[in-house]
Amino acid sequence: MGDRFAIQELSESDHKIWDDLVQNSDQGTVFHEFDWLKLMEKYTDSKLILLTATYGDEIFAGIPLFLQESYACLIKRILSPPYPTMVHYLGPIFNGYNHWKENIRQYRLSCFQKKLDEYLQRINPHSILIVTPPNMLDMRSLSQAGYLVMPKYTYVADVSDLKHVWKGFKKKLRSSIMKAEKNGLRIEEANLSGYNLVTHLLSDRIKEKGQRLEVSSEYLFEVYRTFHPKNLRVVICGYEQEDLGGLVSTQHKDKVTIWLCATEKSPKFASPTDLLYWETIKWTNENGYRYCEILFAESQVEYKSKYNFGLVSYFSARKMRRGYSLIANTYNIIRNRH
Amino acid sequence: MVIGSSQIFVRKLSEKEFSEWNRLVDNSPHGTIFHNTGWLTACNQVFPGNYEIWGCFKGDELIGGCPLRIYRNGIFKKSSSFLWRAVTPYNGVVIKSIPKETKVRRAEYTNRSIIQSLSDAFDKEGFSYVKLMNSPAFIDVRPFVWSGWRNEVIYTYYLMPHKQVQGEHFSRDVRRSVKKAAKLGMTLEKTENVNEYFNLYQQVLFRHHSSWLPYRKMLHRFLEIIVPLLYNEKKCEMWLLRTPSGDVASGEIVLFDNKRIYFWSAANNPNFFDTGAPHYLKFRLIEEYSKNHKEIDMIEADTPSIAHFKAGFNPRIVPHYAVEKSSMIYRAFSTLYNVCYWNLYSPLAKKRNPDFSETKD
Repeated sequence: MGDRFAIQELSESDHKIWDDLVQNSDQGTVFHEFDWLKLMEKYTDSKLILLTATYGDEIFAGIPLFLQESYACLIKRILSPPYPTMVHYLGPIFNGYNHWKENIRQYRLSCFQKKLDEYLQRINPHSILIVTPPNMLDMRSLSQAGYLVMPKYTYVADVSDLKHVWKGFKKKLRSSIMKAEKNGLRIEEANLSGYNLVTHLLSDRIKEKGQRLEVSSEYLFEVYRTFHPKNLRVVICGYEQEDLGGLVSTQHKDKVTIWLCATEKSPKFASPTDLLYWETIKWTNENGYRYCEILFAESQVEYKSKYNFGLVSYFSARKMRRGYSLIANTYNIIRNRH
Repeated sequence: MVIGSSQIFVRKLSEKEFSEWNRLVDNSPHGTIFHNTGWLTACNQVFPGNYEIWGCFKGDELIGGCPLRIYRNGIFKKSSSFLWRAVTPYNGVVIKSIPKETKVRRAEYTNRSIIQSLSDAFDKEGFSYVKLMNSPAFIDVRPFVWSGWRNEVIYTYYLMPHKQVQGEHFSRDVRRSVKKAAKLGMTLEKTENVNEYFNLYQQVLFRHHSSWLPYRKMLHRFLEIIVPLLYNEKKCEMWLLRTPSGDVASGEIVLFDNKRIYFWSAANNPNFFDTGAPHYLKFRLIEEYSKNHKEIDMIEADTPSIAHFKAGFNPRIVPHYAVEKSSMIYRAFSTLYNVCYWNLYSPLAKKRNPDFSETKD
């Protein structure tokens, strides 16, 4: 491997370098922004390690890693993204990835992986979990380094032609949206109170399923405080004097991502969720963003597919120490049973 | 499984229905030449196991299915392709082409129903292990995961020759090798002589796939059947690159279906590596096929040395998904076998014979 490749930790004072890389990378998302990473670090009891890979003087890649130590530092885990943060993917980002020739891309990815492995060997974690962002299909270097790579999916659509998007909706969905508008459901831009409504409703929905929202309310509040209104938008759906629910989306580069959405039990005559999604798609188009993303297409519930967005793959890569994998699997089986 | 107003029935296809299956394969984005009954019948004649096609019917209409090679391994009834990528790179599920205007939701629902029906039918049949290697067009493997299958990402390379044939798209190494081989006066010829190609291919087996050597007679026999068969249907071409002295430096078998061409099998004479022959042969074939074909599947981009060679032509990386399901008893037995093999047999064999290869298929 060329000696000109190196991997190094970035200090906090170098966050401008990191944010420039996020901005220039084809994989960079709002979740990769330094401020978001710091919030994840703060609320997941982990240590943020920002790594950049250089070829000569040029920074060509970076990866945010979170080191979580538990049971008196007996168990070390490396995560990207950490949980619970309601972030579905993070992982490595590359500068100019889509413009590299294949042989160069292959060489750089394998050098990056080798340097990353060398770095991680020093930490010697029990488990590593990296969920890569969309726009990164080549996971061979991770597979070859012993990671178990699995596909995951998200829905993305080019919404430049709104008529085409509307036509693609399921007929029932179109009539549900029209009905909601006709019956006086209204969509309004909201601020913190709307954001709180969404997070509370989300927590209630999860409780109804017998689970709990593990993410802290302070984390969610700080995300709002840091990213609203530049990268975060909140809308609520109201009917007469009542707020029925809301939607939180992130906007970054040319893409709007529907991040959180929750509503009260819908009135019989209309679905606030359908209207919230449609208004967000419309807003995406009207404000010059090209793509709209509906996160998490793993669920067996077919609700999200009725918007007719394209299925886009991304990947999770997991590696565990032998003994630890046995313990972790047993723990998960017991946990799931209870 | 009920889809729309009709149920999906899964059953093995009879030979009479093979033409219907081939029509489905031709029209489906997931279908490849390796799903074709001609291919499967040739495999059936040569390789161990029984090749069957399991079809999914909605009423009388064949809407999907999957070819399987069924064989016994001790007490276990298994299904997977033989020496998978070397012989049959794709053998997974084929689903009827869905019109472009069809909604994602409907397409997803159909896929899910077909996959669940197939998975249930495999369970009923009592397979201990099933592995399907889906083609690159089959991207949504979620229904397999929901039915308890494990999945694995593998890769191939696609070339768009009409865009990429210009030299500057290729790596510097490729351009240099091409120039070198051209200067040496290498000549390309089309051939039907399977034996000459196989002599070259045997050298690859000796060098890289010693564990396949016991099967070399079978592979030879397979080539003897499949090449003339597809040649007559104008679905196969075999090329040799000769040095000015008449030695064969490199060879390639190219397959065609109605969607793309496949660089299915390649072999090189190690004595002529330095001449740039492997690169030159690929370059000439890309040049040759760029006139009439839009897409070339270069097959196999996971083995680092092979991927490195192919990457020089600046192809597009394309993932595809293998899925597998095994019974609990099979998993337990397999784990035990692996522990014994790696911890007991392998070190012992290595001690006795330092050349012992740890690769096992």
